Amino acid sequence: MIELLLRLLCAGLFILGAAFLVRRRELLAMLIGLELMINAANLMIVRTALARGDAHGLAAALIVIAAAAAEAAVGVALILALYRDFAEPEAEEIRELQG
Amino acid sequence: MVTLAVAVCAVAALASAGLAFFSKNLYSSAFCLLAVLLQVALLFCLLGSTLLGLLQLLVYAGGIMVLIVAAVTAVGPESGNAKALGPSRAHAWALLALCAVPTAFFLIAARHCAPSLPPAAMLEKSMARLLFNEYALLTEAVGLLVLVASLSVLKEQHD
Repeated sequence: MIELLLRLLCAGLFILGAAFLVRRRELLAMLIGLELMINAANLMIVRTALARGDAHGLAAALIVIAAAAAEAAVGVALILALYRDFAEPEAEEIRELQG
Repeated sequence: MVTLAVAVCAVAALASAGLAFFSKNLYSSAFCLLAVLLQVALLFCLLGSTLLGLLQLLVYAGGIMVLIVAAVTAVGPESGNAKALGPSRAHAWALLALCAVPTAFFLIAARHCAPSLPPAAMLEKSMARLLFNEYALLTEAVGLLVLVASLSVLKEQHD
Protein backbone atom coordinates (compact mmCIF):
# COMPACT_ATOMS: atom_id res chain seq x y z
CA MET A 1 0.00 0.00 0.00
CA ILE A 2 2.79 2.41 0.96
CA GLU A 3 4.70 1.40 -2.16
CA LEU A 4 1.72 2.21 -4.38
CA LEU A 5 1.09 5.52 -2.62
CA LEU A 6 4.70 6.59 -3.01
CA ARG A 7 4.82 5.59 -6.67
CA LEU A 8 1.67 7.61 -7.34
CA LEU A 9 3.08 10.55 -5.40
CA CYS A 10 6.41 10.47 -7.23
CA ALA A 11 4.70 10.19 -10.60
CA GLY A 12 2.32 13.03 -9.72
CA LEU A 13 5.07 15.32 -8.45
CA PHE A 14 7.24 14.60 -11.48
CA ILE A 15 4.39 15.25 -13.91
CA LEU A 16 3.41 18.48 -12.14
CA GLY A 17 7.04 19.61 -12.17
CA ALA A 18 7.33 18.84 -15.87
CA ALA A 19 4.06 20.69 -16.48
CA PHE A 20 5.54 23.67 -14.61
CA LEU A 21 8.55 23.63 -16.94
CA VAL A 22 6.42 23.40 -20.06
CA ARG A 23 3.53 25.68 -19.20
CA ARG A 24 5.06 28.51 -17.18
CA ARG A 25 7.24 31.05 -18.94
CA GLU A 26 8.80 32.81 -15.91
CA LEU A 27 12.27 31.53 -15.13
CA LEU A 28 11.68 31.35 -11.38
CA ALA A 29 8.55 29.27 -11.89
CA MET A 30 10.56 26.96 -14.12
CA LEU A 31 13.14 26.61 -11.34
CA ILE A 32 10.35 25.69 -8.92
CA GLY A 33 9.16 23.02 -11.36
CA LEU A 34 12.68 21.66 -11.62
CA GLU A 35 12.90 21.39 -7.82
CA LEU A 36 9.61 19.48 -7.79
CA MET A 37 10.99 17.01 -10.33
CA ILE A 38 14.24 16.53 -8.40
CA ASN A 39 12.30 15.89 -5.20
CA ALA A 40 10.09 13.31 -6.88
CA ALA A 41 13.12 11.44 -8.19
CA ASN A 42 14.92 11.66 -4.86
CA LEU A 43 11.91 10.33 -2.98
CA MET A 44 11.85 7.28 -5.23
CA ILE A 45 15.60 6.76 -4.77
CA VAL A 46 15.23 6.87 -0.98
CA ARG A 47 12.22 4.56 -0.98
CA THR A 48 14.00 1.99 -3.16
CA ALA A 49 17.21 2.21 -1.10
CA LEU A 50 15.35 1.71 2.17
CA ALA A 51 13.25 -1.14 0.79
CA ARG A 52 16.38 -2.97 -0.41
CA GLY A 53 18.50 -2.03 2.60
CA ASP A 54 21.00 -0.40 0.25
CA ALA A 55 23.25 2.27 1.78
CA HIS A 56 24.58 3.23 -1.68
CA GLY A 57 21.12 4.51 -2.61
CA LEU A 58 20.94 6.67 0.51
CA ALA A 59 24.38 8.08 -0.25
CA ALA A 60 23.21 8.87 -3.78
CA ALA A 61 20.13 10.62 -2.38
CA LEU A 62 22.30 12.74 -0.09
CA ILE A 63 24.54 13.73 -3.01
CA VAL A 64 21.47 14.57 -5.10
CA ILE A 65 20.23 16.89 -2.32
CA ALA A 66 23.60 18.69 -2.21
CA ALA A 67 23.84 18.92 -6.00
CA ALA A 68 20.27 20.25 -6.16
CA ALA A 69 21.19 22.94 -3.63
CA ALA A 70 24.13 24.00 -5.81
CA GLU A 71 21.93 23.93 -8.93
CA ALA A 72 19.31 26.12 -7.28
CA ALA A 73 21.95 28.61 -6.10
CA VAL A 74 23.45 28.91 -9.59
CA GLY A 75 19.97 29.07 -11.13
CA VAL A 76 18.88 31.91 -8.86
CA ALA A 77 22.13 33.80 -9.54
CA LEU A 78 21.61 33.44 -13.30
CA ILE A 79 17.98 34.52 -13.06
CA LEU A 80 18.91 37.60 -11.02
CA ALA A 81 21.57 38.46 -13.60
CA LEU A 82 19.01 38.08 -16.39
CA TYR A 83 16.53 40.32 -14.56
CA ARG A 84 19.18 43.03 -14.68
CA ASP A 85 19.37 42.85 -18.48
CA PHE A 86 15.72 42.11 -19.30
CA ALA A 87 12.74 43.76 -17.62
CA GLU A 88 10.70 40.57 -17.57
CA PRO A 89 12.87 37.72 -18.79
CA GLU A 90 10.96 34.79 -20.19
CA ALA A 91 12.37 31.57 -21.52
CA GLU A 92 11.82 32.46 -25.19
CA GLU A 93 13.55 35.84 -24.93
CA ILE A 94 16.92 34.46 -23.91
CA ARG A 95 18.48 33.23 -27.11
CA GLU A 96 22.15 34.05 -26.84
CA LEU A 97 24.88 34.43 -24.26
CA GLN A 98 26.86 37.64 -23.95
CA GLY A 99 30.59 37.49 -23.37
CA MET B 1 -0.94 4.31 11.45
CA VAL B 2 2.25 4.81 9.44
CA THR B 3 0.39 3.97 6.22
CA LEU B 4 -2.26 6.55 7.09
CA ALA B 5 0.40 9.17 7.83
CA VAL B 6 2.16 8.39 4.52
CA ALA B 7 -1.16 8.68 2.69
CA VAL B 8 -1.93 12.03 4.32
CA CYS B 9 1.55 13.36 3.50
CA ALA B 10 1.29 12.11 -0.09
CA VAL B 11 -2.12 13.69 -0.65
CA ALA B 12 -0.97 16.96 0.97
CA ALA B 13 2.20 17.01 -1.16
CA LEU B 14 0.21 16.47 -4.35
CA ALA B 15 -2.34 19.12 -3.33
CA SER B 16 0.46 21.59 -2.57
CA ALA B 17 2.13 20.89 -5.92
CA GLY B 18 -1.22 21.34 -7.66
CA LEU B 19 -1.78 24.66 -5.85
CA ALA B 20 1.71 25.75 -6.91
CA PHE B 21 0.97 24.86 -10.52
CA PHE B 22 -2.36 26.65 -10.70
CA SER B 23 -1.26 29.71 -8.74
CA LYS B 24 -0.33 32.66 -10.95
CA ASN B 25 1.53 34.39 -8.14
CA LEU B 26 5.21 33.47 -7.79
CA TYR B 27 5.11 33.99 -4.02
CA SER B 28 2.27 31.51 -3.71
CA SER B 29 4.11 29.01 -5.88
CA ALA B 30 7.24 29.39 -3.74
CA PHE B 31 5.31 28.83 -0.51
CA CYS B 32 3.55 25.82 -2.05
CA LEU B 33 6.97 24.43 -2.94
CA LEU B 34 7.96 24.92 0.70
CA ALA B 35 4.93 22.83 1.73
CA VAL B 36 5.92 20.08 -0.75
CA LEU B 37 9.48 20.06 0.58
CA LEU B 38 8.22 19.81 4.16
CA GLN B 39 6.00 16.87 3.26
CA VAL B 40 8.80 15.09 1.41
CA ALA B 41 10.98 15.53 4.51
CA LEU B 42 8.18 14.04 6.66
CA LEU B 43 7.95 11.13 4.20
CA PHE B 44 11.71 10.51 4.47
CA CYS B 45 11.33 10.35 8.26
CA LEU B 46 8.26 8.10 8.03
CA LEU B 47 10.10 5.73 5.70
CA GLY B 48 12.84 5.43 8.32
CA SER B 49 15.58 7.82 7.16
CA THR B 50 15.47 10.56 9.78
CA LEU B 51 18.88 11.91 8.74
CA LEU B 52 17.81 12.52 5.14
CA GLY B 53 14.55 14.07 6.37
CA LEU B 54 16.44 16.52 8.55
CA LEU B 55 18.90 17.30 5.74
CA GLN B 56 15.99 17.85 3.38
CA LEU B 57 14.56 20.38 5.82
CA LEU B 58 17.91 22.09 6.39
CA VAL B 59 19.08 22.25 2.79
CA TYR B 60 15.80 22.76 0.95
CA ALA B 61 13.54 24.57 3.41
CA GLY B 62 16.43 26.39 5.06
CA GLY B 63 18.62 27.14 2.05
CA ILE B 64 16.95 26.82 -1.31
CA MET B 65 13.64 28.29 -0.21
CA VAL B 66 15.34 31.34 1.28
CA LEU B 67 17.14 31.85 -2.04
CA ILE B 68 13.95 31.45 -4.08
CA VAL B 69 11.87 33.73 -1.84
CA ALA B 70 14.69 36.32 -1.86
CA ALA B 71 14.82 36.12 -5.66
CA VAL B 72 11.04 36.52 -5.92
CA THR B 73 11.28 39.50 -3.57
CA ALA B 74 14.03 41.03 -5.70
CA VAL B 75 12.18 40.64 -8.99
CA GLY B 76 8.59 40.54 -7.74
CA PRO B 77 7.45 44.14 -8.17
CA GLU B 78 8.67 44.21 -11.78
CA SER B 79 7.12 40.91 -12.73
CA GLY B 80 3.64 41.03 -14.13
CA ASN B 81 2.72 37.79 -12.47
CA ALA B 82 3.74 38.88 -8.99
CA LYS B 83 1.64 42.00 -8.65
CA ALA B 84 0.04 40.82 -5.42
CA LEU B 85 2.89 40.39 -2.98
CA GLY B 86 2.16 37.32 -0.92
CA PRO B 87 -0.52 34.66 -1.18
CA SER B 88 -4.18 35.48 -0.65
CA ARG B 89 -5.70 34.77 2.74
CA ALA B 90 -7.57 31.65 1.58
CA HIS B 91 -4.43 30.38 -0.11
CA ALA B 92 -2.39 30.97 3.05
CA TRP B 93 -4.90 29.10 5.22
CA ALA B 94 -5.00 26.21 2.76
CA LEU B 95 -1.20 26.02 2.80
CA LEU B 96 -1.11 26.17 6.59
CA ALA B 97 -3.59 23.28 6.76
CA LEU B 98 -1.58 21.34 4.17
CA CYS B 99 1.50 21.71 6.38
CA ALA B 100 -0.12 21.26 9.80
CA VAL B 101 -2.28 18.18 9.14
CA PRO B 102 0.52 15.93 7.78
CA THR B 103 2.83 17.12 10.58
CA ALA B 104 0.22 16.16 13.17
CA PHE B 105 -0.21 12.72 11.57
CA PHE B 106 3.57 12.36 11.43
CA LEU B 107 3.95 13.14 15.13
CA ILE B 108 1.25 10.60 16.01
CA ALA B 109 2.75 7.95 13.71
CA ALA B 110 6.30 8.58 14.98
CA ARG B 111 5.28 7.26 18.40
CA HIS B 112 3.99 4.03 16.85
CA CYS B 113 6.92 3.37 14.49
CA ALA B 114 9.71 4.17 16.95
CA PRO B 115 10.66 0.47 17.55
CA SER B 116 11.23 -0.11 13.81
CA LEU B 117 13.86 2.62 13.49
CA PRO B 118 17.14 0.81 14.43
CA PRO B 119 17.62 -1.00 11.04
CA ALA B 120 17.31 2.32 9.22
CA ALA B 121 19.75 3.88 11.67
CA MET B 122 22.25 1.14 10.84
CA LEU B 123 21.72 1.87 7.15
CA GLU B 124 22.45 5.54 7.76
CA LYS B 125 25.68 4.60 9.53
CA SER B 126 26.67 2.54 6.50
CA MET B 127 25.80 5.50 4.28
CA ALA B 128 28.05 7.82 6.32
CA ARG B 129 30.85 5.27 6.10
CA LEU B 130 30.41 5.07 2.32
CA LEU B 131 30.41 8.84 1.92
CA PHE B 132 33.71 9.24 3.74
CA ASN B 133 35.46 6.19 2.32
CA GLU B 134 34.30 4.87 -1.03
CA TYR B 135 32.66 8.11 -2.22
CA ALA B 136 35.03 10.51 -0.46
CA LEU B 137 36.16 12.14 -3.72
CA LEU B 138 32.56 12.58 -4.88
CA THR B 139 31.61 14.08 -1.50
CA GLU B 140 34.50 16.54 -1.75
CA ALA B 141 33.50 17.43 -5.32
CA VAL B 142 29.89 18.10 -4.32
CA GLY B 143 31.06 20.19 -1.36
CA LEU B 144 33.25 22.23 -3.71
CA LEU B 145 30.30 22.62 -6.10
CA VAL B 146 28.11 23.97 -3.29
CA LEU B 147 30.88 26.37 -2.26
CA VAL B 148 31.32 27.70 -5.81
CA ALA B 149 27.53 28.04 -6.20
CA SER B 150 27.32 30.00 -2.93
CA LEU B 151 30.13 32.27 -4.09
CA SER B 152 28.32 32.88 -7.39
CA VAL B 153 25.19 34.00 -5.51
CA LEU B 154 27.27 36.26 -3.25
CA LYS B 155 29.01 37.80 -6.27
CA GLU B 156 25.67 38.32 -7.99
CA GLN B 157 24.23 40.09 -4.95
CA HIS B 158 27.43 42.17 -4.64
CA ASP B 159 27.17 43.32 -8.28
